[in-house]
Amino acid sequence: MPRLAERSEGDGTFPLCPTLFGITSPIGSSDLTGGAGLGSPLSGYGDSHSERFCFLRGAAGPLLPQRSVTWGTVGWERTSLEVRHKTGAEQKGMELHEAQAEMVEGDGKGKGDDGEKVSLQPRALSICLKLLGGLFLSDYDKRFYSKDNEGSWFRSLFVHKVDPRKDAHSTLLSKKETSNLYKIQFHNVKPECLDAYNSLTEAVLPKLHLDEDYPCSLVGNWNTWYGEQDQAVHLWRFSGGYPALMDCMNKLKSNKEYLEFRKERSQMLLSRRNQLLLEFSFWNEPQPRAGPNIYELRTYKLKPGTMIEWGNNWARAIKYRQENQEAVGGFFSQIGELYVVHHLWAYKDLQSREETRNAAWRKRGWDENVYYTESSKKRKPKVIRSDGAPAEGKRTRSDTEQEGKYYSEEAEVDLRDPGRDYELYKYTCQELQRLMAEIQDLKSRGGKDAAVEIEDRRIQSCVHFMTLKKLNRLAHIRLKKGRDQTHEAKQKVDAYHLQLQNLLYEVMHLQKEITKCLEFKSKHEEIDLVSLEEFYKEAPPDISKAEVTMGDPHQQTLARLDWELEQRKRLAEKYRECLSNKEKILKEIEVKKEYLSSLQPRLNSIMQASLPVQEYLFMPFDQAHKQYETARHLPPPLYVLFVQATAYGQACAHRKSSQPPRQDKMLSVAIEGSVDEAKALFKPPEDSQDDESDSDAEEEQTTKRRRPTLGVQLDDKRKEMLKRHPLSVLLDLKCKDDSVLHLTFYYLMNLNIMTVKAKVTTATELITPISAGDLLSPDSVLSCLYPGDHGKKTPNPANQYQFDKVGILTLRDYVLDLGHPYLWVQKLGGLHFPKEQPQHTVITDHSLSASHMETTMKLLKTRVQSRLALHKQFASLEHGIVPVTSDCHYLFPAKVVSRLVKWVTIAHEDYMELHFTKDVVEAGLAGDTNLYYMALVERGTAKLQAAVVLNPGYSSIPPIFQLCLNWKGEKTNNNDDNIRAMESEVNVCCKELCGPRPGHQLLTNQLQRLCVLLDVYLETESHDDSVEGPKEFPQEKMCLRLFRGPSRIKPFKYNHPQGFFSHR
Amino acid sequence: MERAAQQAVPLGQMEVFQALQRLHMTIFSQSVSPCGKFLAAGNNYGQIAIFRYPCPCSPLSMSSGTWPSGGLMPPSSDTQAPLPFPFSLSAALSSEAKEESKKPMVTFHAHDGPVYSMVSTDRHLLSAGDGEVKAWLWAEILKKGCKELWRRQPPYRTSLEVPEINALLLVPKENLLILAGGDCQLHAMDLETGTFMWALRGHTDYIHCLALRERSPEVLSGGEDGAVRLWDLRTAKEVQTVEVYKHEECSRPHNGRWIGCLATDSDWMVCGGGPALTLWHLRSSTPTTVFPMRAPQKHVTFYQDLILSAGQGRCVNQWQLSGELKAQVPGSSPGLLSLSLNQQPAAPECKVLTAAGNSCRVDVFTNLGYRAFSLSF
Repeated sequence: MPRLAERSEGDGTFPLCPTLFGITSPIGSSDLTGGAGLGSPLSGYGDSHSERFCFLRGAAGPLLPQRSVTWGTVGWERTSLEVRHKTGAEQKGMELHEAQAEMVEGDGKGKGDDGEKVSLQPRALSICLKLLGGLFLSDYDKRFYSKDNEGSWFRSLFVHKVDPRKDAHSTLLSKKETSNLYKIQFHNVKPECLDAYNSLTEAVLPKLHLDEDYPCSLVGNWNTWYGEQDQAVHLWRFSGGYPALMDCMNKLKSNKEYLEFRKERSQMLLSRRNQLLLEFSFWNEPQPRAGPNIYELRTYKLKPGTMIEWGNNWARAIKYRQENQEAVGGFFSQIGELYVVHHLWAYKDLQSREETRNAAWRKRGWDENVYYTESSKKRKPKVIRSDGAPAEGKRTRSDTEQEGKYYSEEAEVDLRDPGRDYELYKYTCQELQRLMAEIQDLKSRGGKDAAVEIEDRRIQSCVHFMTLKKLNRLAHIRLKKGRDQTHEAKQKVDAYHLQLQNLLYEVMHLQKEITKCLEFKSKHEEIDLVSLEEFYKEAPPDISKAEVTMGDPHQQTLARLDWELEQRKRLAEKYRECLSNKEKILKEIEVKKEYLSSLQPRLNSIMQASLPVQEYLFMPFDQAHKQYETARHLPPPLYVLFVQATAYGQACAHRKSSQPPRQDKMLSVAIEGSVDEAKALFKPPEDSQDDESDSDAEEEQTTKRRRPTLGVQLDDKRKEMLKRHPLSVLLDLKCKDDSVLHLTFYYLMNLNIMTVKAKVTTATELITPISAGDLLSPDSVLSCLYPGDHGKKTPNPANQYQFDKVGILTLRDYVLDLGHPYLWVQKLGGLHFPKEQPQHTVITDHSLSASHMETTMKLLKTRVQSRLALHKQFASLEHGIVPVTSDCHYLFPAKVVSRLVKWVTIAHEDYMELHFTKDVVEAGLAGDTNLYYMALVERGTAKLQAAVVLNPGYSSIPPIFQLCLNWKGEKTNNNDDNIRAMESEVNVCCKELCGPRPGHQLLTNQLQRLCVLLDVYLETESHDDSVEGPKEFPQEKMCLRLFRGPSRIKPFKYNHPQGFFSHR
Repeated sequence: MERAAQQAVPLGQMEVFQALQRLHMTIFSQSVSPCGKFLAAGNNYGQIAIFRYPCPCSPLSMSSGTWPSGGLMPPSSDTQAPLPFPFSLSAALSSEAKEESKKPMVTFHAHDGPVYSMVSTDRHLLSAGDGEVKAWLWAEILKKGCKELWRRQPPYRTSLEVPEINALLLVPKENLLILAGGDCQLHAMDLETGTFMWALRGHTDYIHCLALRERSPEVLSGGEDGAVRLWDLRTAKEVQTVEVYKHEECSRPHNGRWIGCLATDSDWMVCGGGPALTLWHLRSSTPTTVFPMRAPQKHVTFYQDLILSAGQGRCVNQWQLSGELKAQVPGSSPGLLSLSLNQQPAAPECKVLTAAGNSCRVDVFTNLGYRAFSLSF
């Protein structure tokens, strides 16, 4: 307690603060504060050097003999001093020597005994000598001591480095396996016994420290200040490692004093704990220092296996903490709780601690190292300890900062300059060479000294080899580091790249989502909504909500859609109503229809009843009515024809109304055919048309598909196209001589033309002459009723296209079946088609039909009559008789010698080939519709051939004769003007030959005249005087002149009453 | 040939009649208008058609022409022109060659019978046929007035039949018109007064043709009786008679003895018909050249040193005076009755030869080489 008071006096502020180790505190105390205060050296030393040992052995460890620290310390310091003196003042860069210098300075009055000194010195020296001896003793190169760095590097040389795989971590990290071993003891003292404890330990432990027999020294005693209270901490150093420890233990077992001590002490303790520690190779060795100080013990529990790393980092970091010499020692546990690191720091006071630590943080590199060590430490309890000066159990322990970092070459690499390493390498090599040379020199000289010298040199060489090895290792480490860094950077880049890719992908995805959102189309956009104004006008406010929707298009659209829905619902409702209405009306109609149909039978029965009355009254209304009824089903053209023909017939009947009209009707009209078919046809006209077009399409398809059936299908198609209407109109035209022309008119529905078939019946049976074969044939009897109307071409220009489709070349081939589509037939039916030649268009229908009816009927009658006449005439012509009726006798002389000998019909082609008919052919008078005949008139040797063209329009169009006389050579109109004149006489002057109307005798008269002309020609031929004999044809005709005019024409004209011939 | 195109056209009654008429038409006479631009043609139906010569636009070079420049007779004054037929063939055949230009511009009915003969004075067209001669003013004809100016009938002896007039001849010096025909006489009519001054009798059959000897006022006439008679106009007497059929060189009894055509140039005369076409020297009354042509010739004319003749058969024959057949140019008619050479000095560009006969067509020869085209009724 008194010491405590003293200390409080001395320290002022920190009464409980112990000074330092035993070594420094006396120096410090004597140095700084009035040493008088701390007067007794014992007390002064005791303060800092009270050591307590606790041995591992047994729970009830014996008390150790105490030893005075002071002596040992002083002696050791003195040794150092000696060294210092030897090496010179420049060594202050080294921690070791610094400390020694301090010691020297402050230890001027040290009362250490020499024995101690001596005992310590060899130990210290042995260390030094073992490694550095040569260097220190023989050659001090400035380089080694010029800087701190150099020093630390230099010191690192002494750390034994072995392959990390073969050695324990402890050997890597500790300075030397055989160097110091430390033991730390934690004694928890009963609080009431703390002071007693302190005084007890102070009494005993320093003795042990001072005792030469014990190879242990007490580094320091502390009581805990902050942290675990009532604790005392003792730190022992065993110089010489485990053997020293064991030696110490053995000795203590037999030390009665110590055993006593332990016994006494055990009564004060609550618990004990200790560890065996090794020193970090890069850390300062704990040195005695001036007090008073506070100490900080920082204890770190590391993760297993991280000790090396920790050491490497701290090896780098420790340089930042050198400024105030605050670092006292760094240790790691070897036995006891493992993976524990203790750092011991010393500060003047708490304030200076704070400043020092902050200063460290400001240095670059410190923070990094601290950071790297974070991962390796488990926890970092912080204990500030102060010396347990009072023995009474109040444990004070100066806290030491335990920023443990052990040495490693990896760490060292960073600190070194490669350039300088290179220079060192060169230097070392030179040195080695030099040494080798010297050795060789020495060896060659031989001698006794040489062995020592050589040994010396060898040691030096060893040192140099060590240096080279070191440099080699460093180079390897640098290389590996470089690789690692590169790899690391690469990893980082890869990671960043991956991240970038991920981000890009995310961006892309987001963009896609955005586009998807933008492209979203709602169904409502397709709905055609009512316009905006209309909407606001019509929609009820609870739907439109103008105040909300006016500004917000979304709400507006929603509202409009609502309104649309509303309206549609309404319309649907309306639609249902209308449907039901319609149902109702339909039912009404049904009812009315039934009523109407029930009327029909009644009306029929009334009609039946009226029939006898009609007959009685001779009024065939019913019959006519029936006919009209049927006529309703006629196609329009036939209907027109029917109406017009009926009308014309009635008109004719009325004209000659003298006789009972119905019996002798000139024209009778009837309808033939199946009315039902017509009805069936009439009802679905659209269907049939559709079928038509469908079959068209089908046919086109099938023609492509199936060849073989093509012909058949085309035939069907043609039949379909040429189909007649089932109803036809029958017209009977009676002539005066009771011959009847039966005309049947058909309507070709698909071609829209009318055709007619004709048949002539005569009252009496006719003997049909051969040459008259064609005269009354249905094919030709009506040919060219109007000029050029052959009835073989379709008058409807549209038909040609229809024909092309089904492969009909012309209608000509079908005319026999269908009847002839004469133009006049179309006109009778009111059909009008444009002609090939332009002409004024005629309004069709009834007016057209009516305008043609009378002329056509007359022409028909004339045609039939003339044909009948020809028919008769031909019969006689074939027998060589030219029938001249009595009323035509005046045209001819009584005596005609030339005779018709032949009358035959010839073909058109034959006619064309005749050489003397060329002119007629060229004049276009020999169409193929004409009939052709060949007549032969003879008189004597003269044969007159006459080719006759009989126009179907005969007798209104005269027959044309072409002549060829065979008599004294062949004579035709080409080489004989008279033949030409004869033709002219027959052809051109035919009007006088027509005879009485209707001129049916024209042909026979012409033939007769031809005979006369031949007579004249022959008789008037000038006979050649040179030819002997009588003329073949004596002139019997009376002629005024034989020739006339430049052409010398003969007198062909017969003058009737006088009977002579003259010129025309 | 041109008709062939109409074959397809259907014919009605009227068309058939017209076609028949055309088929049997004969064009007996032609006459060129005094202006030289029009041609009148008369046919057997008594119709006269006036054709316009297709107007030549550019004169045609006659380098290939067959008109000889030398010969028996000295070329007349108007034949001095280097281009005797400067008619534009190209114009006629191309732009002007439409059907309309080949149709008559006017057709009118002049006589009841055939128009056998026509001549033109400097103002009038005189036509004759069935016993009457009629005068028409060219100016009016061209205006399509077509009214006869006058008509005269020669004093015939009463007969059952009115004799026809086969030939008209103008005697410009005497201002006389000589008519000859069926009554076997030549009637002279004074154009000034319109009176018939005298008649020359001598032919035993009807007269076919007349020709004028310009140097000495003499008229030649040929007739059915086979004689060519030479009449002196001043004395009105017959001067000479050539009975052609009596000369063996040219006699052809099977054809008859009739003289159908006659032409004269100074002392030379060419005549043909039943007898062969023969060149005669009048003073000696001897046939000098007999032209070898079988068919009877109906028209003959001198042209420069050639003789052109036509008759039965399609061709216009060109003879050298020596009797060589220089060329035969076919026409379109089976037989030709008249040739007309437009030599009017008023229209030198229309110098063409036209030929007509037993058809309704008038063939136009722009040079003697070939038929260019035909005018048609």
